[in-house]
Amino acid sequence: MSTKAAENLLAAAHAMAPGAVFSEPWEARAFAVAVALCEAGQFRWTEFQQSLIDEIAAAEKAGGATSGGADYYYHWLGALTRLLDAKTIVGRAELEARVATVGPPPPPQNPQKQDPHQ
Amino acid sequence: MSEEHDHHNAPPSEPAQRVKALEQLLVEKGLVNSQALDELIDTYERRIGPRNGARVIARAWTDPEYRKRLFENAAKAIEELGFPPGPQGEHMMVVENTPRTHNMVVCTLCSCYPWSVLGLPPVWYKSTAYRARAVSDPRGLLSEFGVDVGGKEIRVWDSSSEMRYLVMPERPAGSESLSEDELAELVTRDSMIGTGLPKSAARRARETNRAAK
Repeated sequence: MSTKAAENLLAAAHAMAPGAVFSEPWEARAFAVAVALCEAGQFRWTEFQQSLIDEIAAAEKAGGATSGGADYYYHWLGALTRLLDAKTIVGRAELEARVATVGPPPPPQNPQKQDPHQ
Repeated sequence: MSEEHDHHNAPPSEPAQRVKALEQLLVEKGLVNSQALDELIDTYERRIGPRNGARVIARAWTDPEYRKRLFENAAKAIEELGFPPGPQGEHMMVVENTPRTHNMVVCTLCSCYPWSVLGLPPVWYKSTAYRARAVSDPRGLLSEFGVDVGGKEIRVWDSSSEMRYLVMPERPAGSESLSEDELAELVTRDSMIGTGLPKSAARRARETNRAAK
């Protein structure tokens, strides 16, 4: 993406100023899991934050700009699973095995997508 | 890093599946409970947001003693109004706009943000573009956002796990007769990030009239 295009997108995103905090339920879930584990003393917030900084920096170094939406929570989830693996709270292999049994998400109940502009 | 991410050859699963799997495992280990997660989400979606910060600013505009406490120990003064610090910690500083200085907040490395007073950050705050340009060209960025700060000096504050910032905008001219609650209506989220200015008293009056009709 060109710098100019990124600037235009930024101004547009700012003008839209959506009130919604999360755009997909999984983002809220990923957010809450990290906060709950920190509050339960499983890690310090600064540890999670460093993991998040690393995830975002790696993605941006590879050339992918973050829009700040779903891609941001994707990094958030990556940061969380990496930290949980490092702390042997949930190992990577354990997580992958469980992901395989969860199966694909069910098709959306309501195909009519809500217009975020409203 | 490539080693870490190349463990499995299957196509990457949907994040929704990954989160679901993670939550299941953590519930089984007794480390989280799903109802507590629901409550956390509800709190951050509905109860914590920029209205909290607006109340802090309006109180500081009207109560000199509170204002003094806010500058001495922001986290403590904010908690006084019933907004305890979030998990990000309690280090917080209020930076004041003046006729000569405009303050603006960014987190260049990730997305640090004063949750207890502003809620969770908007999408654009977390974008690569904002994080870069707030530092490289704050005046140009403000002008794209439709904000004119004239010839004021612009100070950019980079948030971190050590310190988060809340901008105290200048109290709008013509707002002398407004009550604390009415003043809080002037204080927008962006005015407390420094990417906007508070509403004018005249604009609030127009909006109130419209709502009454």
